[in-house]
Amino acid sequence: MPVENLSSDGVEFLWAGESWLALPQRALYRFQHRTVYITDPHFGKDESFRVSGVGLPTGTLSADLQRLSTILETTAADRLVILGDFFHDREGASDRTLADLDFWLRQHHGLDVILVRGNHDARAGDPPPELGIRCVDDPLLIHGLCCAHHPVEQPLVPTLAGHVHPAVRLGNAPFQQKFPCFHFRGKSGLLPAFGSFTGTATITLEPGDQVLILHKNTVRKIF
Amino acid sequence: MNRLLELWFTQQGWSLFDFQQDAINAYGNGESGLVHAPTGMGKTYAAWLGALNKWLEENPDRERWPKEPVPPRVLWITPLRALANDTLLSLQQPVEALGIPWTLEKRTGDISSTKKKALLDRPPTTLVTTPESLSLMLTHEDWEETWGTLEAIIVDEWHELLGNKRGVMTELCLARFRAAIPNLRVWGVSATLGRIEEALQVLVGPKNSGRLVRGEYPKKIDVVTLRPDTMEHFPWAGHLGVRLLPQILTYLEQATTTLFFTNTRAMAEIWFQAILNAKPEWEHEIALHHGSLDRDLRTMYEEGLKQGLLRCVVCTSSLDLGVDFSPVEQVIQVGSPKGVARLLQRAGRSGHQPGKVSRIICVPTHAFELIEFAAVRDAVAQFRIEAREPIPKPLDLLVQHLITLSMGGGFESEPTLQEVRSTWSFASLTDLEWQWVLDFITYGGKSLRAYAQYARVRKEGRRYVISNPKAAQFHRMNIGTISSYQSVVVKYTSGGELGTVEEGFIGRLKPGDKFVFGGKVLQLVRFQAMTAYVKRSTGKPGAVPRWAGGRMPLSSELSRAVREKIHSISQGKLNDEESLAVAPILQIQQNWSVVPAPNVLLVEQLKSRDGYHTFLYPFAGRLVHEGLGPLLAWRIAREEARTFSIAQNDYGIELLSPTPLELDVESLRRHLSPHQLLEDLLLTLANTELPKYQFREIARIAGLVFEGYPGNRKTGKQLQISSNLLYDVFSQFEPDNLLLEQARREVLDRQMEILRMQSILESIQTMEITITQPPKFTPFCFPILVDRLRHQLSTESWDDRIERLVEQLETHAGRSGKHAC
Repeated sequence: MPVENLSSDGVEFLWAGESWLALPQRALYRFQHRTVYITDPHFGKDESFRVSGVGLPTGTLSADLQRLSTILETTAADRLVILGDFFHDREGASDRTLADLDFWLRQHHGLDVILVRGNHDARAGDPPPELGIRCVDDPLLIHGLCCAHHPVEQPLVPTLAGHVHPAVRLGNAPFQQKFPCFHFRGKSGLLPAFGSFTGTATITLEPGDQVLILHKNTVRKIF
Repeated sequence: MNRLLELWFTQQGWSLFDFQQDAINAYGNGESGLVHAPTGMGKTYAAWLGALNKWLEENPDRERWPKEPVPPRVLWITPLRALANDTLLSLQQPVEALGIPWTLEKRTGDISSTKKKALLDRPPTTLVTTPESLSLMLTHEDWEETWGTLEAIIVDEWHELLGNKRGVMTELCLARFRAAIPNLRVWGVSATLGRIEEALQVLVGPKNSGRLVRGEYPKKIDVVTLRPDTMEHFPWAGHLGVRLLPQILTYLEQATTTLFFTNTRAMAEIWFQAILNAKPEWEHEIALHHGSLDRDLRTMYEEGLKQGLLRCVVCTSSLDLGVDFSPVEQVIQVGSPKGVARLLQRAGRSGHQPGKVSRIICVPTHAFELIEFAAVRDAVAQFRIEAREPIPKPLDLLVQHLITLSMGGGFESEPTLQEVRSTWSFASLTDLEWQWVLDFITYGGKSLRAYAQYARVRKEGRRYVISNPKAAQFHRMNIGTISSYQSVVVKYTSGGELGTVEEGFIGRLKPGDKFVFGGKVLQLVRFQAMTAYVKRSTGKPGAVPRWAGGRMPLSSELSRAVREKIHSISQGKLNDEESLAVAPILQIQQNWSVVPAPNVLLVEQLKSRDGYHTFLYPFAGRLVHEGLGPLLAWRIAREEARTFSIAQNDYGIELLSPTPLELDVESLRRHLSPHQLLEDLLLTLANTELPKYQFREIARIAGLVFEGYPGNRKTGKQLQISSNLLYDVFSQFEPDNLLLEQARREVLDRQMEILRMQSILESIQTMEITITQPPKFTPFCFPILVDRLRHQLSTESWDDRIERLVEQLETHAGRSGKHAC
């Protein structure tokens, strides 16, 4: 699919001197290097609850993977970089979870998948080698871009990070709403958490920040 | 009555009332029942003496009384653990005086684990406990052995439990005990309520018979209202009657002990400061008592009250219940009590002795409260008292209860279903709902079917039993979390706890900010780990904490009485001081608009620089108006896209619009139709956070959310999750989950009083609708303006809305030079 048509779904913007595409499916696309960035999928989080006997519905994982497929198909990316917290915890990385991931990765044969390890990965462990995901320590420097899990204050090179699960609050109480967002300040960029079963943390904005918010199936640049 | 008991009773200087004798007889005959009487009429002893009397009749020969304590005989359930101590003391009096070989103990959530174990090993003859602890008893496998000798369960202050989930929890536990122990008596003790027969049936089970024992009436209640000397300066709304402080001080000087009730904790703090400023020499004679203060402090003040050491205690509903404060001479009520029952309850705190007069001095905080005071007096005279609405089948509690049963030796489906259906609350439980709950605890509903090894409850043959000790421990910790707010402990930096405030309040303060709490001016030093560290300060505080749930809506009984009162005043019937005082204000209302008769719905429309105001006065109470306002706005906006600000009070609703709103009687009647009420309300709710908020409580009770699980990483932080997220996940992947439906239903029933709304809308259909265009804000609408709670409801598309929000933000940023969200 030609890239121009993508803009109707995603929003194109400039940051760190190149153009990027923010996708409503909670991913960032780097045109120059045909790479998709996501962060904090926390795969298996709901599974972890079920394993503890809490009756959560299944469906989050397959919905999330379906969403990731959509991203990869619309962008035709060659590479997927995950900025940490692949699994939520060890219990959630059950056989069921692994089987679903394995099945999904087979459908995306040839895709280069890189995981920058985050704090959850340290406890949950890397995805098993059979999945073919390259795991590297935080941070990873690639094509002039620093890919990190933990955000870096005033980085020297443009840095994309996860971990925060950023969101902004808009509107007045009691109809105030919280929107997950992409957030860029100077050379530092934050991505919204990819996992649909994850919470958010409200961030405070400053003048000059670039903010793209997510709501339902849209992304919108508000600053 | 047994002559020993009679001897003791008369020695106290009391004489036995007929109703007490009735209760004692009924108990002796093996009946169950409910004793209801005003506060301070000796209803506690009516139930207790029944139990003692029966034992004394069976054991007439003192010489042959057993040397060993009598095995468990009575469970005494009290709604508040703070009351357990005092209850225990007063139950002990006759037992000790007569040397009856009964042991009495209490068990509440705050006792040590060694003590808990001792209670299980050597259960007392009478145990004073709370509904939560009652439920916990059923989690022990040998509970039937321990408690099999019980003769009666007595539920104190039943009116406090009826109408909330703790009451339902009590119902379920009672059903279990009744099924296990044949001939078990169940007695309740209650303040006066409307529909008291229903209260009895909920207690004893709808299919069982019970005796209703009515206490002596009427205890004389003297309702006095304070009025400012001149009416023309009387504030119309809001501003506390601090103007009336000199008069109040005179009353405080005259009486030895006064209980000073306010409706909210924030008000209590404000009034305490005002009195202290006026009379600094009373520093050691006045105290502040509310539910967020540290328990030790509260206990200290309660003791001070009992011993007559305190001149005045400023308090909230925290002192509504129980405890006999005999020395209390008078009661002051600031602001409308909002209900007839509450006024009776509070008035009853004074002259808390059979035969004495209860006196309540009412202080209005705005003019219309004078009407409410007069109306409440009328309602008391006509004995029109509110009922408590029992809650129909909350499935979250059933989930919790069944896990409890699975621990206490397990249960089988069929007999347990019958047992559960024998309660009032679950009488209409369907087979499908029952199966759903069973599935939920064994398979986690649909989703855990493939996870049997992890389920909390598993099926062994025909029995459902708890699956592992971890799940059991988990559950024990989870019982008793029916209502808990996110609260922050307030602590001196030098050590010493003061109490709790809501997180949201502290979150808005910066270190160095001053606020009033517990009657003291405090300065925030730092806030960490859910603790606010403070130090004493002086000077003017910036803020008074607010706590959720402080605002009571006007009850339907009282609102009817208010409408009647307003009408009779406007008809010139000025037969009390309050009516005389308020008549000039109603005259202004009449001149500028109309004073509506009870069968008229008044609508006022006017324009101000804020926009176009439409006021409606259904007089249905704040909760109903909170639902009705958005509903009306939504229905209007459905026909013609527009935005409203909505505000309301107990009397009416305001819709504020930037553009003129043209309404005629016919369209208004259509918008206020009860037709499709449920569907439209659900659509209105879709724009709000309310169901998610309600889901929080449900998720906690049903064990979906865990709070605090010490020393275990896995079940601690890793498993914490916001119930909002849970709500979203269920809505998306399991929309037919019955707990979601329960959340929506609870919002409709409890947050919006849908039944009351339905009946209001039905009656509006036959009412005359009068629309006026007053020249200025009228006495009716002014309080709504002042006491404004703004809501935004918009039918514009999301894009436009964000555009507008962004615009607001830009404007704001332009002013402050900084973006802020």
